[in-house]
Amino acid sequence: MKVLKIIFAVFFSLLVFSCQKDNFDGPDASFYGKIVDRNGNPVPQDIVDGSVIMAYEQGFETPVAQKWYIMNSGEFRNDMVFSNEYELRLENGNFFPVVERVKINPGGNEHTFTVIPYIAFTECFIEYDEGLQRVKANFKIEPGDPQVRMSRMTLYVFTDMYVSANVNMNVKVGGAPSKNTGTVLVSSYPGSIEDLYIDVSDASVFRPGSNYYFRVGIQGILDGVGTIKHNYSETKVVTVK
Amino acid sequence: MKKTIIILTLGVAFLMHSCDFLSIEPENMINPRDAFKNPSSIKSAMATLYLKIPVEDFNYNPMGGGTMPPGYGFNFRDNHSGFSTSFYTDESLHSTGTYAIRSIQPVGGYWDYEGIRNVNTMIGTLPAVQGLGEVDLNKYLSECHFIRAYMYFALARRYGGVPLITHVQESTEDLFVPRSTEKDTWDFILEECDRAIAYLPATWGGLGEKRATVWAAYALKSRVALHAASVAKYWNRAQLIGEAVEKGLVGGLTSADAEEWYGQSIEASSKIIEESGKSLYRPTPSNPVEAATNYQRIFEKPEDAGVEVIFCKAYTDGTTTLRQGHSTDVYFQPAQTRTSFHIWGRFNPTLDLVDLYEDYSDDGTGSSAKLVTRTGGGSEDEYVLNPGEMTGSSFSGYRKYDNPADIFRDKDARLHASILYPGSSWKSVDIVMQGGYIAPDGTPTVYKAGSVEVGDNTYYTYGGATPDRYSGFADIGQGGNFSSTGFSLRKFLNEANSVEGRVLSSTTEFIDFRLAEIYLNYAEATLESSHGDDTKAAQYLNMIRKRAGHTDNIPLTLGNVLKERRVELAFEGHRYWDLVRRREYHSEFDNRIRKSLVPVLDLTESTPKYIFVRANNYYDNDVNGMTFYNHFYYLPIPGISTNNLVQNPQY
Repeated sequence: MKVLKIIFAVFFSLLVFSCQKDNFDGPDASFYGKIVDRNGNPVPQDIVDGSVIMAYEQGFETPVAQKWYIMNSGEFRNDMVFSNEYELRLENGNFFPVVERVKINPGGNEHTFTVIPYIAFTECFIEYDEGLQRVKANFKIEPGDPQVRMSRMTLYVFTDMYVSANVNMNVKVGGAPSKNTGTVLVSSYPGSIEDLYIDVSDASVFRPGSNYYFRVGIQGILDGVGTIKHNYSETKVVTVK
Repeated sequence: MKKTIIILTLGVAFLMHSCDFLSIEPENMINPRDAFKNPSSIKSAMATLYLKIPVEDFNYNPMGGGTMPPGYGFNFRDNHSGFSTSFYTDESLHSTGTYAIRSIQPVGGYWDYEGIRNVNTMIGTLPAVQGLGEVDLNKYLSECHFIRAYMYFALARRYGGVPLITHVQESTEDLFVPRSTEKDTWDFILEECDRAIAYLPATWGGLGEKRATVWAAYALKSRVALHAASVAKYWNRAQLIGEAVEKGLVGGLTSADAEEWYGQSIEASSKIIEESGKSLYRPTPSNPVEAATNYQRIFEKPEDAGVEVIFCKAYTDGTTTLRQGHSTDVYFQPAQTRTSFHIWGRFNPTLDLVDLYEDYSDDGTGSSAKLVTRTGGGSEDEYVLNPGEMTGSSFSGYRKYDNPADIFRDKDARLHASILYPGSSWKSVDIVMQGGYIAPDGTPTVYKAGSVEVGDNTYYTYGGATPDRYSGFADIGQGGNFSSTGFSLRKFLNEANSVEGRVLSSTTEFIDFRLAEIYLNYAEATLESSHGDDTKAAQYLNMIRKRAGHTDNIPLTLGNVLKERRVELAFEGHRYWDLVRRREYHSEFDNRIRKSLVPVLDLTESTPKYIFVRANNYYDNDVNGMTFYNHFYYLPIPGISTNNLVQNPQY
């Protein structure tokens, strides 16, 4: 019996023993900041299939990409980062690709990526016309490169702030039909576009008294830069009456 | 002490002695001398390799793979109540909405380097087998190259460039073989096809088309080359960047590559068309009804259509032989003719596809004839979001039919032979697909159970009093036993024979390659390149249409060829890869909501009439459409943290 006790004691102590070898520290850094254009304005993103920071932690033979997602507003924050040197690749988004090597130190690390959006909204007014029961968009756009063309231009609406090409209500969008397709250079567009609208008169879709979120999305076309995602205007909240 | 020393010395000497009986041959490998004592043992080893060919047949589940073992999506007999790549396309969807996944990338991959090693072992071993003559040896080797080409094709169209491993790796060499470029991978596969073509016989005698012949190898080459050429030509439609692109592991193909590969596809197709002796099964029907019967027969009994079939896969009954058979007749049977198994009705063709079929006006254009649901030239492009919310007034402007099948009258024979629609006759039963009724007072009841009495008759929402009397709409949003599109699968199902109410009881053969595909490959490659003969291509295109009962000749245009491909090869597993290789997926599936046809019984008339509502499919509408993102064209390379391979873009 005594022998048994000793054996138990030995085994138990083995179980509670932890090796120094695998006793690594957890993530010790946070990395946050925003994506801005040359004027310092944030570049709005998609929450679904939006731009991501592909982070390759250096020091491994085959670094595997970590995907750090960027928020709708163009801001990002990851509080579970291991301090180390990283290659950060911002590709296949809605701005010209950026690749940066960043040393992330223990604790907080703020970083701003200054990028060139494929298409920038220089002005955008989204207005609710109560009489016509329409929400209209009036905006000006500018290409990030003279060669940028346009695949389509849509006013999106959804019930929350994540409104985008991938998160939107299935409604009829009117206006700008001839400009909505084709491969016209963005720079050849008129300075201002004001005939995109959504009819909000159907009360079974747009419930009176409720808030709806609108923003314009435009997808560019350009060779050699990978996948291009939509560029967005600022979001406008409308209370339908 | 001296004694001890002697004992120790002896002991040590014993330890140092190496015995013969210890140097055994590894037991986890079969010695070729034993394995291939006679030709029949080679055949049985070859049969095992055939099972590893990644044919996307009735047992292929594109959801398989992933975290499952490599190649697991193939021969996946626990097939999740039936699955098909077709559900990811605009042809059809699963009755529960392709599992309501918003993005339509099949999660499963294929990374069967174990299978490739098996083939490599066979290729390395065969020459050492004693008593195998040169003729037989070459035949077997070519067969191995066919299988290996097929496996690498399955890899290349999923991942782009992959590690090319062509011999059995030894533990002493570098096991980390890097990815080859996408171009080199395609070239290697085409060379493998040539090695297969070199010595494969034109026939294997009594085996029919179940063993790879030289024609199967040409057919594979035709398909591979067309795929590679299309990717080369249209890669820019969905551009990607990243390390894999910089190194040419994906993309990096030129228009010269496209030209070369289209040419190779045409060459391989021509060989089959001109030299194989294959022809379309019953190419000149006397009328569309006969054409429909003939066409249905090809898939119901492929063994009778051997004249057209180039390569097919056979099954034995899985209820009597473990891990055999397939379950097509169980899972995809419409509710009214279901088996006793608890799952049925899962395969739902879309209205998108039904609208694509022609009628028999045969005016020489070959244009599709959309179903006519509205009166006075009303728009056939408008779709109701949710028919369940329709009010009485929203039913104005619809055309009224006496019988549900009338709307499909005079449509292409292949529609009648491929799809069960409202009012079609199947196993001597009239298929009932009904989404609701409009009561005599004008109040509609759609998508919710109900009944109304008119005179001596009682009418029900779904067209019958009990669930064995209808096949559509009854469990939308709750189950998957009733069609959610108003259509059900007919192609591949066995009308004459009833299978047992058990899974794996179907033995209908799966046709992998048939002549009609080769005709269409030829026509497409001819239009897309400077190679080929336009006159012949037009002839092949029209031969396919004539087999379907059409009488006119339509011009050879890319639009006509691609439409014909969707119609002729519907549900056969081509559409998914056609969308991928031509880089059309992301534009076709950009918040795409596939469509349903909802028949509604109008009781406001003195005799009940049928109206047909074009509607968004419930499940696609529910998730606000399906999307295919650009980076889905390549799947993520599995296990890169250990195999040191470069990952595909955006993973």
